[in-house]
Amino acid sequence: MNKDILKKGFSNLCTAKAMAELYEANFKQVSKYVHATSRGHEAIQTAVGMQLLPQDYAFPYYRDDAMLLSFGLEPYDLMLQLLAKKVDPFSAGRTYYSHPSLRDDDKPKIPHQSSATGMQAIPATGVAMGIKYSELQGLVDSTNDNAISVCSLGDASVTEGEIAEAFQMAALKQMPILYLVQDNGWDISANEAETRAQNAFEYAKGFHGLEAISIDGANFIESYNALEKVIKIIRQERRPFLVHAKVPLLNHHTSGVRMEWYRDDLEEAKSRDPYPVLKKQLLDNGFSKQEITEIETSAIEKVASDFEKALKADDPKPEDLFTNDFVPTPISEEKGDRAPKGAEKVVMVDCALFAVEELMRKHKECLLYGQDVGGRLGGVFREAATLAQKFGDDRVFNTPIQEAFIVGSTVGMSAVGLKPIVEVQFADYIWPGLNQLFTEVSRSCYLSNGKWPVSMILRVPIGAYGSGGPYHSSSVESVITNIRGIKIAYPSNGADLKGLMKAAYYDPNPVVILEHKGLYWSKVPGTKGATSIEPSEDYVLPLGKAWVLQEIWKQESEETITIVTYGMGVHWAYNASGDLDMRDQIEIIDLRTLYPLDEDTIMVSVKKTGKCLVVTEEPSDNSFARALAGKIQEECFKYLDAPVMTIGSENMPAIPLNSVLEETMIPSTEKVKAKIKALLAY
Amino acid sequence: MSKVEFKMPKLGESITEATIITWFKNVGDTIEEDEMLLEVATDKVDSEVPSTISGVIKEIKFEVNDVIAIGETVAVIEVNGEMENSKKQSVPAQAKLPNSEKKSTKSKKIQKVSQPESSNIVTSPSKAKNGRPASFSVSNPNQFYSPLVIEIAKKHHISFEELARIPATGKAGRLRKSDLFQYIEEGRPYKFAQPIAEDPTAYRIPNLTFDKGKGKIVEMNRMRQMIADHMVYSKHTSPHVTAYVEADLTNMVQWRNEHKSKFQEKYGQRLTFTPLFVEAVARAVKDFPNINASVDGKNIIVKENINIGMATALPSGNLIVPVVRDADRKNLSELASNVNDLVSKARDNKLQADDVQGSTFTISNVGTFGSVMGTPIINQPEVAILALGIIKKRPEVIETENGDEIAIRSMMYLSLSFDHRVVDGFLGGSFVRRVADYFEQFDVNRDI
Repeated sequence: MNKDILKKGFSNLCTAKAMAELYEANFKQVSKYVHATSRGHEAIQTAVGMQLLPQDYAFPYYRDDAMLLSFGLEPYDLMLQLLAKKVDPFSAGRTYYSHPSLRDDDKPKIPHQSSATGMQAIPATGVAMGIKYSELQGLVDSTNDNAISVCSLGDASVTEGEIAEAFQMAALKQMPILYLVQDNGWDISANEAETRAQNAFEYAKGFHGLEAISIDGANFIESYNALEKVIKIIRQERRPFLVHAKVPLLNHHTSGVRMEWYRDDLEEAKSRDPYPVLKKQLLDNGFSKQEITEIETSAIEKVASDFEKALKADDPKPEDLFTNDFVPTPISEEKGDRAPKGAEKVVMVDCALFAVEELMRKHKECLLYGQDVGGRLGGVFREAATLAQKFGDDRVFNTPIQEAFIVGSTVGMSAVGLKPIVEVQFADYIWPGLNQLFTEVSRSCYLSNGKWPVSMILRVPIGAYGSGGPYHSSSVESVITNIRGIKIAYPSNGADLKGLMKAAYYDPNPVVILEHKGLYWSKVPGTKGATSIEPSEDYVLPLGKAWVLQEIWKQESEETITIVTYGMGVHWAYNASGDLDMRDQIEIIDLRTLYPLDEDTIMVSVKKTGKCLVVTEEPSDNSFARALAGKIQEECFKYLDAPVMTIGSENMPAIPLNSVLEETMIPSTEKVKAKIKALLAY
Repeated sequence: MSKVEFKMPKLGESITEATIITWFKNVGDTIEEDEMLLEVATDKVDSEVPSTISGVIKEIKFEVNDVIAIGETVAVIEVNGEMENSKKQSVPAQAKLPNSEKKSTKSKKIQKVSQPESSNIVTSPSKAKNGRPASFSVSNPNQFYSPLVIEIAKKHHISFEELARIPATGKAGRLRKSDLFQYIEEGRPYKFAQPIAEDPTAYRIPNLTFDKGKGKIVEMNRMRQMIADHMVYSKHTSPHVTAYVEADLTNMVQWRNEHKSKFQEKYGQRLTFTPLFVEAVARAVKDFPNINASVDGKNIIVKENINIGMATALPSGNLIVPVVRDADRKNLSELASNVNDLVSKARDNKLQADDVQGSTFTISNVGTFGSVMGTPIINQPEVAILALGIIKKRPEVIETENGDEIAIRSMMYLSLSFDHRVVDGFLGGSFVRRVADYFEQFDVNRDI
């Protein structure tokens, strides 16, 4: 073997080992923040890391500090994160040691991934899907040719369900990805015998098209050679590969637990230490003992001096909390023609469809996937009708029933520069996708300190539309609005939906668009207003701007009221005020966007009218609407002549199928009317 | 059995509070409808207040000498019979009051104090804009005020006490924003505090050290306080100017002396000078109607009726002004009867609210006290007041056919204080001279 490779590998291993030892020696000082080290895993990590190129994407996990060193990062860089310093190059002190996010030109790209084990599999697979898509669409050049994605996993995380979604898609779509599974036989205190029926190598065999090998990850030369072959295959053949590497865990699981308390294999594990193995391999390949000692000594010195330097770095300041939750969007103003002369009235679902079509025509980075959106059906609501025919099956395609993959893959797609539009079929089925939305999508920008915003649109058909029953009717916006780091639109009409869809596309941040099924075709009585003249192609409506649908003057001798609502609530409120002949007493604010929330418009209105009703379709308790009512109360208390009230569905677990029960459950124009009357008479 | 809160009824325009003088009943006593429950002192008159329902007194909430607001609950009466099924309530009268359809938020003048027109409840005849009938109680039982209402009240200098009086149409009698603005727009009664414009250049009240000295401390009673308030208010409001004239009353005195016995025989009334003065003043007022006026902001209201108030001393030493209504339309015997009646009522403390309200011009007979002349203070909201001095025999130079002679004549000084905002010297002087002329030109041949 090439001596340079050996020397570099050994140096890397020694540095990682010296760091683990230094952390242990300075335990009190460094264990303020939890950390894990690669001790025992250094050989395989180094063997992989040394062979990746700057155009590749890597997803190292929290035990991969040796891999990070092998990318060319200094111990100092890693220690800044260990100590949660402001200049921590990965997260500016926001997340733990060895949780990298990196976008350096000369190193493999490291998109953000969460600390939740195994959750990086879907984003990493999303990267591979993105790479493949880019190649098919001709979006690659010599600088990013033959890129691969590397997803590092511990074997204990492979038992998680989302891993199966990732493997399934990688195998199905033949993506250029390497799953590197480091198997040390342990969860924290649970061992492999207790937690799995087979290891990752055996498990991979169930996924046709995913080739797997199993190697000794503690043997550097074996590891390096095996990975050299595998990476070459992935680069050339553009297909997925799983490498199962058996390694010992020689340090604590993390600084939070002591291995001596529960490990019964410590002596056996020590016997498999990669360090003496590689040392011997150096001697066998002609290195002198003195050369080896010099490498070891210089690693220890380097680590010690970097640590001294890192200790002196500044901590973040309190104001540093508030940066990079989002990156700025270029869309800040309403532009284009909202109601072009001669344009036709179009139902809401088609406004969205035409918006997507215009975007796909203009931008090759734009693609659409989800369940049943492909050419055969074009979406269960025909919301993607004809798109696959127009743009091909590569750009508009069906996914398996995998909400986690649909949502989480966008992290990877976005990382390679694409702009995915995805959808879950019904809001009722968003739950399996919530983990990815919360853990990966929403936090990527913030925890990478602005390096990896996720540009994606998640379309969610939502709401009750007439006997949809308990699994096709639910409203979920309170759960969504509880996730910080995403923007959320909830339009009440087609023109807004088209404008917001465009704004969402050009927004570099993740946007969830909640689309009410009852408004899609204005089929629910009283929702004709959802059908709009189709805005022009250049029409864009910024997120975060509410619309005063019905504006009134300040009236002193009349009781007046502001209704704050969104989606279907806008139609109930508008119809109710018309039925009551109170259009000049009721101001209606259509929020259009739930986050960012246009608080100014709300507060100005409530201060003017003195009373406020928040209308939602959700069960009202503990909801977004209830929280907003509280906020209005807090801000407008001195201007209020009555408590801010909220009306929503009854507080029952589900919307029942039977139409009488459904009608009893959810609000209506009549119910809103009664509430308005009660509030006016208060 | 049910308990009804008996609230202090309205006693007349602008009367907002009263002092309890006597309770006719004690806790445990039975009371019939229309039976007197208590006596109160209000704006210059004492009134007896009858119960509006029959029952047993369960609770008396105030003691003698307590000051109570109109509409405040003063007693709780337990009723039986027809109201048996109703809960404890403070608003029962909506259904039960026989004349509830006449009730109005706008108070009317009391016709008879012994039959107060309002009970504890007033039902609004007005319908709210959106067509639903509004009902409310005069004294708001729901004392919660929203932050908005409090903010508006602050801005308009409306006290909580005043807020409590505003008709409220909200849920459970809550005062709503619209109620408050309607009240403000309809013109709040002047009597409540109004915003004070702070003028840095204005004169300040000097910081006088007041030496209390030694002596008996006499607490002003309620009437004294009200007189004091009225006097200060009048002097602050109207720039007073006083004009003086002299009149020869020899003929009038002579005529009265000759006819008073016959008058007594014929009408059964003593013939004093007062009806003669009232008659002459009423004639002069007719000649100069602008003296019979009030000031309302930027408007002058020239009064239709001529109601002559007569400043009169009460036995207590306090001052009261009973009113001769439509003095210009009454003949001498009617005037005499009216005047005598009022004087005797005043002497016996029997004047009722109606007897002392509505004067449009006031006479103060300062001669009664032996004064030669006076500078009277206008009885607001009138614009002039006439003081009549003592009739005194004096040697006067008179013109006769035989030239000037000195004769013994009955003379009187008349002084008219007038509000120079609206009455100029020409009007005031002409008017008072005209009164004097009517006095002098008294027809000695007149029949009784």
